[in-house]
Amino acid sequence: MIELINVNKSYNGTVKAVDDLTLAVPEGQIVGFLGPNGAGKTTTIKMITGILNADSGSININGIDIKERPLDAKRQFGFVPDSPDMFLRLKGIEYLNFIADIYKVPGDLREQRIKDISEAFEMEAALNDQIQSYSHGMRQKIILMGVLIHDPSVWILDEPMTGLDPKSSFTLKEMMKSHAAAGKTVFFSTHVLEVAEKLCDRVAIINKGKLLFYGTMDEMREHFKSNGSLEKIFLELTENE
Amino acid sequence: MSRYIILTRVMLKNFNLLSLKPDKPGKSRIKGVLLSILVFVALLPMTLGIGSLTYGGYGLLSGIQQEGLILGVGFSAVSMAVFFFSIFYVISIFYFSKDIESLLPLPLKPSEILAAKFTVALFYEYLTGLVFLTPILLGFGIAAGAGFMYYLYSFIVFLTLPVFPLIYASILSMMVMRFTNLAKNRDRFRIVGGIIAMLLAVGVNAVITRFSSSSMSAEKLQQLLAQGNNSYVEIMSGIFFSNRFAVMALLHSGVLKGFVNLALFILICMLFVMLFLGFGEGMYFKGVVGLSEASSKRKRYTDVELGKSSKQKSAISACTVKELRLLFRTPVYFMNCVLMNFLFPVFLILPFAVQPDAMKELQGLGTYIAGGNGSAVILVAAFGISALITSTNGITASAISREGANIFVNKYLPVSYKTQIMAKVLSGISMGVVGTLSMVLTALIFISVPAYLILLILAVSALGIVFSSFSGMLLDLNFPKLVWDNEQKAVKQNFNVVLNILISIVMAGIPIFVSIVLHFTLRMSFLTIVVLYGILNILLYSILSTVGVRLFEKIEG
Repeated sequence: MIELINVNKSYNGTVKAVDDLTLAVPEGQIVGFLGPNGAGKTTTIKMITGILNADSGSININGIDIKERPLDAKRQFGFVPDSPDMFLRLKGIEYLNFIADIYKVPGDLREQRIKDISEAFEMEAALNDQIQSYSHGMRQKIILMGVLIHDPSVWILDEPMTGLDPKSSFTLKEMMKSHAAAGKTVFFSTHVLEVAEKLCDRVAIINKGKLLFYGTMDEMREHFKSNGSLEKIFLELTENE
Repeated sequence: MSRYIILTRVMLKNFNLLSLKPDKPGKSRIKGVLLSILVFVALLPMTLGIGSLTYGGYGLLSGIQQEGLILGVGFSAVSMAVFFFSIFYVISIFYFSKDIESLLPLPLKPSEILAAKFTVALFYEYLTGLVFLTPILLGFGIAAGAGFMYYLYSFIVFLTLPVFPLIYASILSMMVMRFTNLAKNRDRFRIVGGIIAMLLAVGVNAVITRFSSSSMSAEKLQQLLAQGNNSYVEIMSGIFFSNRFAVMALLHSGVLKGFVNLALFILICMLFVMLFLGFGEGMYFKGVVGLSEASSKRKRYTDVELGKSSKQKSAISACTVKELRLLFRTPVYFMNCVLMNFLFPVFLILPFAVQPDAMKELQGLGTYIAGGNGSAVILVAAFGISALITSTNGITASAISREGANIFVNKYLPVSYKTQIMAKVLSGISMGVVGTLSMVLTALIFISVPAYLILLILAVSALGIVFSSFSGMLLDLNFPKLVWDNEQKAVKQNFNVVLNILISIVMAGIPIFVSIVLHFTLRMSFLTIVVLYGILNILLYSILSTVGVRLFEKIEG
């Protein structure tokens, strides 16, 4: 599970990117993190993953504080960033092995996993090529595969569907569902309400750094009728699509 | 023309060489300013040295009325330096810069993009000129007690002189890139292309030196020098033949002859630019279109291959291997960080390739080593060279900067910052070892050295390599340059690399100086280096694993 308690982050001491955010992502659920562009989604995710330091508040992953025990906390999750343009001059297979080495995945286990995952994403033929020869979707896939290879209990995904073809997108969604069904944690950001609607057990809606709503989709529909600002966000999110 | 100006303006906005503008608004610029001042102060002795050399040379040569020789030789040297630097700048700015992809779809003529990029490269060369050319112009002017016109002409020459070598480098690079763009595996061929361009640059230099030194007998030269009246300038030739007009313009800045020569100089310069743009119009896009295409085989791996590749490694060796792979596969990094290691042996061989006679003089060196303090001098020199080679490859001094926008990856991976730092240091050390070994082996061809001395040399070299790698790493952790739009900016236009070279020169220079001045024996020299740099290295290691880790923590992408 992921816990954020009174987390604050401001840039240059003036613009508040995340404002007193408290949020708990429980095990066994898929939680969508919704908000328009610039709402603070990526900043929040960067703080959870240890890329940015929170100004105040605490963040725990499976009960481990990311600030106090960063390495242990980082071993708990797998992260898919919003831009997959990294390690472009490594071959796919080299990237996977690099990640497996970092997360200490033993040789025979990783061999089996590489086979299984590359088959699931139809990437077997691409693993011998450098990542820079991949399309956007393929790059997305290889990063996803990098997460799957060390089989973390917590998945954190920043806009994971962007650039994936329908089939891969479907595969990913199925994987997210079965991961949550196995009692593990899935937390992902999106600005597309439809995706969240179909996939999530719960949604957290953020705008201008503030958490506006956290609950199930049904609760949300009830809630926004009586809440003007949430309705506006809801409209923005649906209109964007 | 207006499109050229718009384009140039946009490109120059990204021109943040001095790191004076902070990466992000609101971020402190003190570090950047401090670093710039530090580099300026560090370069000052060299600039002042060139200036006083010019000043002194004037007094010497004006006696035989050949003072123009100073300007001539100075201009040739500067042109050669600019030419050499330009090869790097041109390849990265013209071809590897990320803006290419967004410029190609715009309705622009190749020559317009080329002209704008050329201007950007020229600005970089003006910075080179500031260090090398200004002291020559000023030193000469002061010594000659020149008037206003001299300084006005100097300014014009300053702006015009680097154009020629830059054009030569551009044309050379365009031809190489045109050729390598035909290849399937472009990255690899670009690396080969880079090597070819550099060898050509070195080769051209060698041929010119040889030609100009052998085309004239010593007697004739003496005769010419005795004539006075700056006659020597008249015979200046080679690819930078146009420099003579600049020299003449400055020598006769007070009279019409000077003006005519200056006009000629500018005219030739303009003609060259026109020719260059015409050439580029046809050539440039052929090398640049499809640049980012990457080859792929889409070949399935076999189970055996998979099994072989998926052997478990430790985090530190996985990180080190990753660093080295990126260094070898990214053309810009390969040219600057890997190839650089092999440049020193080339420089060592070059003079002998050009002038075979010099070989004989080296034989004398062998006897020098045998007696007296020769072996001590060789030992400290080897130590200095190992530190210098390691610092010039710039691997550790740009290790954080090279991560660029992807620095965030280092943050979420569960690898301690200390391990990541040490993996980067290890990649620097391993290339330093390769560079130093190739230098030692090359040197052994020329000088015969007893076996025990070789062992001692290797021991002190190891200390030098480790020292330079540590200091470079510490610098880059302090001043990472993460915002760049082409890889070249991370390595070549990175002050940390320059600063680390300067540190290595000073730190390696001290033992050389001390051991020569105090007539240290071989044993004393060896012990001094081992004790001094042993302690220093341990200190640097502990600083890196404490302060360095904290610095890494603070870096935010």
